[in-house]
Amino acid sequence: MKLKSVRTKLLIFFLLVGLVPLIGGGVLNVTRARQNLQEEISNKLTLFAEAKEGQIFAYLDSLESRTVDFSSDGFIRDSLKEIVKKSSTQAVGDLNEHLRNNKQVLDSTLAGISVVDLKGKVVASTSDEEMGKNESNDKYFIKGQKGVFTVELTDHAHFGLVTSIIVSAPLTDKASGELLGVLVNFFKTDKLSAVLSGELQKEGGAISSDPDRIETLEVYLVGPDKEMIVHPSSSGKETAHTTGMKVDTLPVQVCFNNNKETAAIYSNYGQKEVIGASMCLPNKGWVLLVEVPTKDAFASITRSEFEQAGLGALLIIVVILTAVLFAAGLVGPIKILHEATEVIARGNLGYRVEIKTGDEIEQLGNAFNEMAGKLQESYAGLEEKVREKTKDLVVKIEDLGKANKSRAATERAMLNILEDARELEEELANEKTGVEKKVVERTRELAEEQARLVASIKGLSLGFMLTDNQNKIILTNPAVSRIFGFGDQKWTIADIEKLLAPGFDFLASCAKCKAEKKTVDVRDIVLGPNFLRIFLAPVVMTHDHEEVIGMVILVEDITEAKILERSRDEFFSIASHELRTPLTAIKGNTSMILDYFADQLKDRQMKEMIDDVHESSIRLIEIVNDFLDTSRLELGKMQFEKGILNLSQLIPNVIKQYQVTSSRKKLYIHFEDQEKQPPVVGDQDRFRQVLINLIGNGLKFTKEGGVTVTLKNMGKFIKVLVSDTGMGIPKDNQKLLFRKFQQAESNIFTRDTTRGTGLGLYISKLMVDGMGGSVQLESSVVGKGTTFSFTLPVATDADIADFAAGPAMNTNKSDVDTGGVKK
Amino acid sequence: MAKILIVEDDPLMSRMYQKIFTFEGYEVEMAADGQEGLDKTRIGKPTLILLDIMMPKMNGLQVLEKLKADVQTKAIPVVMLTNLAGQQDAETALAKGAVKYIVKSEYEPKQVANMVKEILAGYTRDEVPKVG
Repeated sequence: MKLKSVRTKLLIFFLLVGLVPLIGGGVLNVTRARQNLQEEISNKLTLFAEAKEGQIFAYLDSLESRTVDFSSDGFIRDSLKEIVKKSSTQAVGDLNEHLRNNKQVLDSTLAGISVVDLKGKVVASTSDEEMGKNESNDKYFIKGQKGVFTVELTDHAHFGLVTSIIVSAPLTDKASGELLGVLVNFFKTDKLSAVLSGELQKEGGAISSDPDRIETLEVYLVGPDKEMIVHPSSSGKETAHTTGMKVDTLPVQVCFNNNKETAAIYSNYGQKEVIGASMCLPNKGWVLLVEVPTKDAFASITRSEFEQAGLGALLIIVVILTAVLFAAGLVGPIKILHEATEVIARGNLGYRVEIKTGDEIEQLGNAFNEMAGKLQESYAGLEEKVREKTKDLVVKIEDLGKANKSRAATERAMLNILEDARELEEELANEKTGVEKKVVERTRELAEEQARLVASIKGLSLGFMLTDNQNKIILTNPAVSRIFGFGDQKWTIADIEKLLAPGFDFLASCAKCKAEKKTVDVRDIVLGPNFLRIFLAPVVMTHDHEEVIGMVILVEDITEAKILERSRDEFFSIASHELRTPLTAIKGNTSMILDYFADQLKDRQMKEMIDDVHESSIRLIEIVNDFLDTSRLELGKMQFEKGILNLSQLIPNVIKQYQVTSSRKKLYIHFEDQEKQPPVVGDQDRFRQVLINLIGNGLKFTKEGGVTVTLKNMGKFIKVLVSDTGMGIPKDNQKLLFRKFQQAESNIFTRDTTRGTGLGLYISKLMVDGMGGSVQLESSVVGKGTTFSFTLPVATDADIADFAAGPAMNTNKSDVDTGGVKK
Repeated sequence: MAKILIVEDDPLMSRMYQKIFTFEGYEVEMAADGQEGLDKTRIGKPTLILLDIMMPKMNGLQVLEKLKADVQTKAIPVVMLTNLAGQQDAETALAKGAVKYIVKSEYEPKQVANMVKEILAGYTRDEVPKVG
């Protein structure tokens, strides 16, 4: 049970916290105190012992001085001399009397006085009993002969004393100083005892000893035999000691063994634990002991210890009580909460706790209540949901039941289908064999076809290549090897590409062909000294979508054709140039003669001849130009520069050039420009050439009247109409009009050679065709006139935009005056 | 009167044009090839140059380039006088800085002279168009 452990924990904790320091401190304290006290007591005892020692010495000194004093007594000396020398009994008696009456009375502690002769016999004494005793073996006799000697006597009695202090001194002859004997004083130990106990000093008026001195203090002397010599006992008290008892204790041992003083705790003669200090008196072989029973010495400490212990016990009780109370205080609410959780766990979600401790535990209690509240809510909510879900489930189960039934039906149907499927399989198998047979047949047919095709291809003089989509050769013929000079080596498309690069990017053209699915025809490919024409066609398969599966590549060696063409081109350009120069010279010179030397041509015939030469040269130039144009047009070498032409502007320019000719022939040329017409697309120079041709023809075949030019908008085209009031063209000849060299006469000899080469209309037709229009004879009536027309396409917005920056209605074209007449 | 330099290798042609410009009152200088034309231009500083294209050693277009590259000569108007009738050739020449391109065979000498007169009249007023 957790609760107990909390209390226990608290208990332990409190105890530890409260008591350990206290107790620890207390114990320490007490121990320290005890130690200190012991020290103090030891010190005090030692001091006391020292003091006592001093006192003892002083006392002994007094005894000794007494003895010395006695020993110097003349009467005693003389007496002794008498006794020794004369053995005078009288002397003895006198001496005894003297001793008794004069000497012994001086000191109350003097138990007796003896005078001993050199043999050791007691010759005089204060006590008759002592007379005649043999003292020869006694130390005090032996030592006393030499000087004053003090010793304790415990082993035999003198003068009825069990214990006495003997002080002896030598007796010498007054006169000679000769040793006569020894004087021995026997002192009672009473005074020594009193010294030890302090009474002597008190009696003597000495300052009383230490007022703190505890009553149980024992001060005594131990002799060299480890026997107690003197021990003052407090009056009235029971004594546990007797003089002469053995005192073989620690300090005694230490003094005799090491000659050292002791201050310690040990067992005394009576086996009682005492704290004591010792003083060694080595001269005498005595040990002074000062002892206090530890019980008494540490009584105060002991008492204090008891008090502490009592206090400690009290504290423990208090602490325990506090701990228990505290624990109860803590544990109480925890218990409440614990119970509450159990209640709630059992299902009573409405249970709430009430904790009013005013601390975190109260907060915990409140939180617990909140949680319980929330739990209750959500539980209630959950219950709802569960109810709903259960309803759904029931419905679903019903549906499932229904579905199950239909599934069973489906199963049955499926079984039927399987049966049918099996039947189908059989049929299919049969079909398959049939189809296979057909396939075999067809394959053979195809193989035959292929064989024929391949043979045809191989026989071509054109190079033939059939590639797949990856530019790999599927089929080719020997002509390719021949054209590219591969010989017997194996080659690939890559080899061809290498040969043709960098002048011609073969692979790029292949790619373009495949990508755009269009044929690519490239002439003028250079391979060394040869020219090649390469024609690429894509192989498109329209299976379900258009797919390029490869290419057909044809290669033609057009070197010869090219050479031919070039030589023809050269021929034409050179020829035309070469022909023109002398013709120009003829025309120019004759013209200049006519212009500048007219006065020298006064002869009409000469003038006419020069005129004829001039005119011939002009005609020849025309012929040359016609031939050149024709060949260029036929070969497709004429370039048409497409521009935007504003016919209303251009046509008057052309007409202007003819004004001279026409006015000479007294013919008019009119341009009827009624509506504004849109611009057209065409080559400006060629347009002028065509118009010139038509107007020229018009003027040529007209005797009276003139030529009229009009425009007509045909929607997509503008039609230029040139009408003359000339002789007209007979119907039969009309079909031959645009033919080469044909004039409007069918017979080759029936030609008007003065009227040009007959190439004009042919050239015009080719030109207009080249500009995207058409030329035709509109109408012709013999005797009335002829109308020719040609069309040019209207410029679209796109065209205008294209040529926006173009030369179109350009004025710099006038810088290039290639002539108003045909080029 | 203005000086015309005619650069033409064909004597038939050079004699003809020499006559017409002389008749028209110009001072006429002749050069029979490109190099002579360049030299005479530098020395004589003609007012206008008539330049044939087809010439040996250095053709007219090359001469034109050199004339227009030389700061001393580039301001002099150059008229191409040739029998080459290609549009391309004309554009090339004009692009190189010629002010006009005349095809000999199409014009009477007098017409050529008139054109030159027009050009000279025009360029006394205006700047010679820069090489495009």
